[in-house]
Amino acid sequence: MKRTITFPTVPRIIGIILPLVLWIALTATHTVSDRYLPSLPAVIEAGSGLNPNLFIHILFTTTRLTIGFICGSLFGIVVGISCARSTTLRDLAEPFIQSTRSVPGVALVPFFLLWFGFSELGRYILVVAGISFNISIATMQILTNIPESHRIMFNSLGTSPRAFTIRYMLPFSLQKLLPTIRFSLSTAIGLIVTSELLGSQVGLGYLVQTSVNTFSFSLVFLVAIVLGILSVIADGLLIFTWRYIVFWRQS
Amino acid sequence: MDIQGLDFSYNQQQVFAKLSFKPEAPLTWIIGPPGSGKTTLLKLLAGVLQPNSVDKFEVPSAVGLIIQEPTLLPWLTGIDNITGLARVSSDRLFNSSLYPLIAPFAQKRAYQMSYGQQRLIELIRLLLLAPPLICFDEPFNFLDLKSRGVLLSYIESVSTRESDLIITAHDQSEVLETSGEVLSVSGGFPISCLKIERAL
Repeated sequence: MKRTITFPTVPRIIGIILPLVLWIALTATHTVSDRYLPSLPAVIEAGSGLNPNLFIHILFTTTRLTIGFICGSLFGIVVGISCARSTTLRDLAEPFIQSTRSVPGVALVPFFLLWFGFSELGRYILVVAGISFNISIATMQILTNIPESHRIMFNSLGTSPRAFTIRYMLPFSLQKLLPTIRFSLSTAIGLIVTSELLGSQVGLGYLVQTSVNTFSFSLVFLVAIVLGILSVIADGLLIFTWRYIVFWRQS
Repeated sequence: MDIQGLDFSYNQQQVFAKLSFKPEAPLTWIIGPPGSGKTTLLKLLAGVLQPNSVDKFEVPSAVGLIIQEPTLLPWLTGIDNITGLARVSSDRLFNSSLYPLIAPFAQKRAYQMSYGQQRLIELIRLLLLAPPLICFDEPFNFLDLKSRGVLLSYIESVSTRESDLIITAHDQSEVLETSGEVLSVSGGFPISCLKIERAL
């Protein structure tokens, strides 16, 4: 199939190039001091002498993010569906979930340091705790708004609870969860970097921590750019994957 | 089935006032123009809506209702929508005289089907499940003549063997070639009786 460039592509390209051009122009003309905005060559150079190299740090952060995000999302969906199925469970769990999800994930870091030390497990659980409760609440909310036509159908058919959960509740909630999952992804990136600031020996958060100690502002800037790119790629992959998960929404 | 003195209001509009309704035949048609209360009556029979008051309300404990909105789950195939959601075995489905009507598209997922194909699967699913009372709300919209004919003959046979059926339709022309009792609603509110157009 022949593809043509459509109008939204042009603003998107400009949106990527314009900040770069502005950055280069501002630093080349010394309009802004190096202290506030390092130059592009300085930022690139900051990443060249790292040991282990930058890609290893990216790999560790990405792996931690992927594991934490997938576990947190699955846990959130399972808890949400379970609470939607059982009023008793919902009454028991909802006050805790509601109160916990309002606490910023970063504020949970001291607790996780006390409970899990600087272990990898603690990092994953921090991400799970930081994103799963929002996903649970969103899932519950979606499942409280089941269309009347579907309620009538299930009443008429006498569908078993197991079939209702697996064949209906799960796909019905998945098709509406994408906005919450995307928001949770950006939260997870923030949490994993925060967890790496403390006691980690590798990862983008570790790089930020060490560069602050060595006053390497260019490296902090580099990490910020890498995180931005990582976030865009992860979001794109999530949307791409979601199209396959909720394949029926394509029509 | 026997209903006596049924009152029901919806959005401050009294729809039924002391309605009494006792079908004499296993197959009953209710005809009337759109918005005349036919769907509301079926929802009351199926327990989806609750009457404001009623003197006597005797309906079977299990009532199957198909309303006009499509309800197949788009992520499941036609067969899974039948055997995966209703207590209908694969054997009962594949050996049914109705299966040839859906065989060409039964393996497709519902989102890949036309509205008419989805409708056909919904109707066949409930007919094969065969609860004691089946309520169909204008079931033949969007169906081709052949499917309609096969379904009608099946409905007439199943109504004498397994289930009682109450089916709504727009006008008399839709029920001319069928058997069963025909009742009508006039279109004005509140409704207190159903007029007998054709007795059993």
